[in-house]
Amino acid sequence: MRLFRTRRGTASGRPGDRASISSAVGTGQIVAAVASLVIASVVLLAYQFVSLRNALTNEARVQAGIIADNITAPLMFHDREAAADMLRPLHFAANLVSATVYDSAGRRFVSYVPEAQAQGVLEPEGTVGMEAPVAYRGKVIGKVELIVNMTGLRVGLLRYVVFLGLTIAGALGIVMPILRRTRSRVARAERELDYLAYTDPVTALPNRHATYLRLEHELSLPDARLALLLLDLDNFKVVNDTLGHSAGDELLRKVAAAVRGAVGGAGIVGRIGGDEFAIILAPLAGREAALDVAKAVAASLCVPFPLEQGEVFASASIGMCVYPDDVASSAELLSSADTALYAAKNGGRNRVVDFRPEMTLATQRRARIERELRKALEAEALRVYYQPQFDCSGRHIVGVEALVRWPHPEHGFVTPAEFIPIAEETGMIVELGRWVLRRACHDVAGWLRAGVADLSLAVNVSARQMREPGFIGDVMRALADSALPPEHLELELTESLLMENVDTAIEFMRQIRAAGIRLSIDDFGTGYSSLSYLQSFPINQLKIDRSFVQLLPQRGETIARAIISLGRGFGLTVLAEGVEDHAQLEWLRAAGCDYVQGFLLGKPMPAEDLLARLAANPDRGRPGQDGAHPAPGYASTENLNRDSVA
Amino acid sequence: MGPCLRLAAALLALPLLSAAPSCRAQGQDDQLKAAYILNIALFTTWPPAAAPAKALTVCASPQHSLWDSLRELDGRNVNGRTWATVDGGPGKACDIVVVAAARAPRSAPKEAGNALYVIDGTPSGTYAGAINLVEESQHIRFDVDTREATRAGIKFSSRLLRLARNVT
Repeated sequence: MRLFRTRRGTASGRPGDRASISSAVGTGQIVAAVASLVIASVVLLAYQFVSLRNALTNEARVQAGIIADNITAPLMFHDREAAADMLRPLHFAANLVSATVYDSAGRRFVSYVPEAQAQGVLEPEGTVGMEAPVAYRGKVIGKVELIVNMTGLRVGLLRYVVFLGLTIAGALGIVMPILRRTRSRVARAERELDYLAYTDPVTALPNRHATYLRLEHELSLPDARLALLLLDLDNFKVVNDTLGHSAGDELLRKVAAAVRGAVGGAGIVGRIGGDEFAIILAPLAGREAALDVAKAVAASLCVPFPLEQGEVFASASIGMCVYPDDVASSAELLSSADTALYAAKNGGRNRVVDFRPEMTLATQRRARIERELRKALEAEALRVYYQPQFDCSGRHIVGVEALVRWPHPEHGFVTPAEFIPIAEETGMIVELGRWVLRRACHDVAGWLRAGVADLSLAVNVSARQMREPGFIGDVMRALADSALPPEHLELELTESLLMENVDTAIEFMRQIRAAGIRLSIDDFGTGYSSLSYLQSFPINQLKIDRSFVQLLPQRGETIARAIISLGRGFGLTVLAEGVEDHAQLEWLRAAGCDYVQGFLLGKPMPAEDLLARLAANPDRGRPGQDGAHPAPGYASTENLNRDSVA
Repeated sequence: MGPCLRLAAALLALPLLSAAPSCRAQGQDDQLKAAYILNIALFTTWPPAAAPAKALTVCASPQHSLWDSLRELDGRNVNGRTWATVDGGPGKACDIVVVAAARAPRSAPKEAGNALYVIDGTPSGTYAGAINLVEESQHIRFDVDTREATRAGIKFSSRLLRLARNVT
């Protein structure tokens, strides 16, 4: 794997300039061995020096003592010849420079200088003197002075150095092959570790860490100009969930190969997440070149990938950001490319989006909304609005749909179209839904108890909430705490939510129905719904989507009539939402629709306004139909879009 | 180097002769010979039984040219004994007997006891003693007769023997 370029246009196999452990260990071992040998040698040499010097001085001391002992008589008799005779054997003393005998007055009596010394062959430095008193029967009658040169010491030390050198060379000769073997083993282990640390095991591409290192490296080069492309597979999760992990891995390998093929030598590809890839294009000639590569990558994925289980399409969303044109730092580069990727995903997937600065503003706004929504939720600063639902006469309020509203202290009402998707993405929808449910149950139960109105309450359920294991428990608790009779509550589910996992959905609905709670299908007819589920799903009501209602009465009659007819056939009530004019209301009444809801009859409003309206309308209540329960309240996102700033 | 210079050197070498002597030819030779005798005494061991007295008795004739020089050495410490020069008449118990060669006996004295005989000068067929001081090439040398010494029960240090001209 070639990860890092040391210079433009070249590549090295190692991440960054990091020295390899094996070479560091090898150098370290050699340095340690040499250092220890040098220290040991110095200590041994010092010891040897002291030993040799001591031996030499001891020898000189002994010689001086012998001379002093023998020279007493010649000195006393002042017999220089005899004295010289006695000193003559000193020519056997190799290191002797001179031997001199002094009388008691310090005058020189006799001296001996070896011939070599007399010829001045040896330098005077490096000598040591040794004195011994000449005494006879306790009386000091002179002294002997020997001058000994240290040549012997130097020669001895030199010999020792040679000996040490040979010993060390021999030892290293034995140890070096072992060290070499160890180093090669460490190097091999290091290569394996490097591979594991910097490579994604599935695709053999550089992993997240290696990719980011490479990015940092590229950015650190002078005059760096590069494009970062973040690629996210649009349907990987579906492949993984439906075909299994091995198919997912196989798809990743094929995608990786396709992307690498498309990128070619223009840059490197790394896998930085489950289904996320990063492409670093460096050095970069221009933005167009980067876009070309991005399009080539997108095109390379627009073909079916043959897996063992069958062919799979793996479209991808690609976000692109160019440094330094768009951003000034690596952190910004990543986050901006991510923002572009997010925009690509939100823009309908399977597309390439080039980063634009305003995306950052949108991202920042999104982040702020998320932060403030969390605070608002904690501070209970959100409000529940109620949109009335009528029987087809348009006079009797039979229920309300609970809708959440966010009056922001600074920016006024924040549209649910903006904050609901954020709540969905971040998971806050679970808590938000729970809060709305509890609040609405409490309000409506209070009105029931007070005899203000006999209403049903419709509350929307998001996909995320339904997946939450404790959701049914939450619903039961909300009912129990508020003492709202279960038959007054209706949960609204969307088609797509139910179709995600039909078996789970049916089980969920059975439990809800068993508790006496009603169920209605929202947005009926807008998704890929199967008519057969109307038989198997234990639902109570269908809602005609506003998109169909708004076409009435000139167009869309066929669909509206068909839905009403279906509802009748299956024994379900039908509610039309988004009724905005009298003609629509008239048509619906004529067509036999049970309930209606819309701006024509009542916008979403605060509880006080609703109560005021109920008080003003003495004909409130639940007219019912053959004992069937009246239509519940409902406020779906399409209502939110229009009614949010009510 | 003449005897005079040698004497000066010898006297300086010997702490025993600390006074700087005047340079008089005969007197210097005598002093040197007296110093030799003293040094010889220092390297000589008498039998313990024969040397009970504290004094080291040196017998000589007052007529002998060395008499004065020997007398000058009186009181000197010789291995714990005190040098004492006496007129060596017959019957005297001597540790050292200094005799001029001309007055040397014909043969070894019978009753010499443990006395060390030092003959000054070259004897002409007469007794040469255990130590015979001679002049040779203006140097004072000495010969040692170890048999004579053994006969007198005297032992010389090997150091002394190494300095002797002849050892018999």
